[in-house]
Amino acid sequence: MKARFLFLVVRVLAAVGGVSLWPRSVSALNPNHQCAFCHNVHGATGPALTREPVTEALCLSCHGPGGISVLKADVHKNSDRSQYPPFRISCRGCHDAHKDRQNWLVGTNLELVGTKQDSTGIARILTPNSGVREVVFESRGRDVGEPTLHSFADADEDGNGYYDGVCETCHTLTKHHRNNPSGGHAHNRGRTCVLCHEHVMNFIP
Amino acid sequence: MRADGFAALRFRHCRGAVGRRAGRRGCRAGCLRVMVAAAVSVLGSVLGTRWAIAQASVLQSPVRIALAPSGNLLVSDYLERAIVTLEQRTGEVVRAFPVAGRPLGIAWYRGRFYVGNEATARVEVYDRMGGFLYALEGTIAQPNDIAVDNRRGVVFVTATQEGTVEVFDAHGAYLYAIPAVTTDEARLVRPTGIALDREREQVIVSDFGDPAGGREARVQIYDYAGNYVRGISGEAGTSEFQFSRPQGVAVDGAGRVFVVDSLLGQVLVFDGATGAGLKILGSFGTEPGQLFLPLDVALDAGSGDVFVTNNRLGRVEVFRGGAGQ
Repeated sequence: MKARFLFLVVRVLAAVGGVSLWPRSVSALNPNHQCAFCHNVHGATGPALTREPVTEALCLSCHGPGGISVLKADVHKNSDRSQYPPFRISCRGCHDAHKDRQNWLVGTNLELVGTKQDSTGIARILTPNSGVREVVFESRGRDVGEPTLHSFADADEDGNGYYDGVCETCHTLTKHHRNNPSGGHAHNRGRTCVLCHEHVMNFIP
Repeated sequence: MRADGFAALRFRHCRGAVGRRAGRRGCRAGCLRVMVAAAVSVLGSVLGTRWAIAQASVLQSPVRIALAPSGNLLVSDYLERAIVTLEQRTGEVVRAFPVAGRPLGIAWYRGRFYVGNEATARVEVYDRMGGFLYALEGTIAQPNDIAVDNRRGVVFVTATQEGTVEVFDAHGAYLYAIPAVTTDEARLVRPTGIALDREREQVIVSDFGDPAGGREARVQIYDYAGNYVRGISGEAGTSEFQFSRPQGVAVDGAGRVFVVDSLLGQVLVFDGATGAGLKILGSFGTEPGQLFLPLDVALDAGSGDVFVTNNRLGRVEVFRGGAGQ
């Protein structure tokens, strides 16, 4: 009992100390929008104690229509005309709101892509059909300011038999750029997918 | 408002009906939803519950909303790439026309639609049938919201990325920018929504400020010439009336300012003269009468109804008598 009380005291002091040491981590937000706005200690339904719809509103309040960011985005859905059942992947399906993660190539992913799936902290994604997979979304500097093959659809650029570009690592039913050798891998190879499949248009061309 | 203090009418959407034709299965499901909703609505009326549901419309990503003199609702749909006109009482689509780009701001003046197009970075003018006529002078990176003074023929546009309100005559000639003088309290950082108080000849502008720090969200009020009058801080007052992601604004004849908080899913009502919080419409959520990324608000001065674009849910939320005391 005494040990549990001491543990509780330490936890409270650590929390208070954290706020004092890194005030910007909370003071950057309106008093209404502290940790509890995204995280719900009691009764949360989403992963990481999040209230999923609120997270989406938080992201899209700036990145959605009418928001102030020039980086516009919307959730990932399939077309009304798709032959497959409708799906809807929200922001946290691909992005970690808290940090850019290192990928298995020892580079740092861009745009907060990749989520923490285990203790290594390496950027991975929980895919709909293929379990947890590696994801790489970085510019390796081949073309200044332009992503390389690894960024969107690597078409197994490094010949390791693993398709880990940010678009293809999930795809198993698309016509092009699946996460396996089947289908076509030549479609606009090396190009920037989001020029046609815009993030703001649900990635639908 | 009704005696229970809250009434909401929602227009369900039937995806893709303007740009891409809706699939038969989707429409059937949508119609079934509407039929069930209508039945629930009737039952709700009988039982005295707080909401009703109207007929299906075509909204996918409604952003800005304006009232035409006829009473019809004009809605810009960002993903549908269209301007949709809805009959106010029923939610039926009167007409819709496509916009080549991504429409944001929408206003109506003398039979013409004024549309802020983010993709072309300009304000475009269309005739009543949706035919392109001309664009206002110059470019605006994000013409986020538009308001027109019908008596003077002056067009006000929030230029979010430029941090100004740009003012034009109705024919498109550039006149001047607001604020007229950029003092610390008068400046705009990232203006989003705009409304005109025609009685007092004031311009009401919502401003995100800098969410990363340095400047809180505000509602700024100027005279027509761009001189700063007063502001409402998002961090002042009691916590329930604080806001951080203000979007659309509206003002009624009494000078009360309605501000949409897109993050918290609320419409906050302030006394425009004192900045005091008066009441709150809506709450965050996906149920009827709840708001998930609301982006704009419009008032019907006659009925006192309040219309809110409910972006994530693809519908317009209607608070019957919500503008009343």
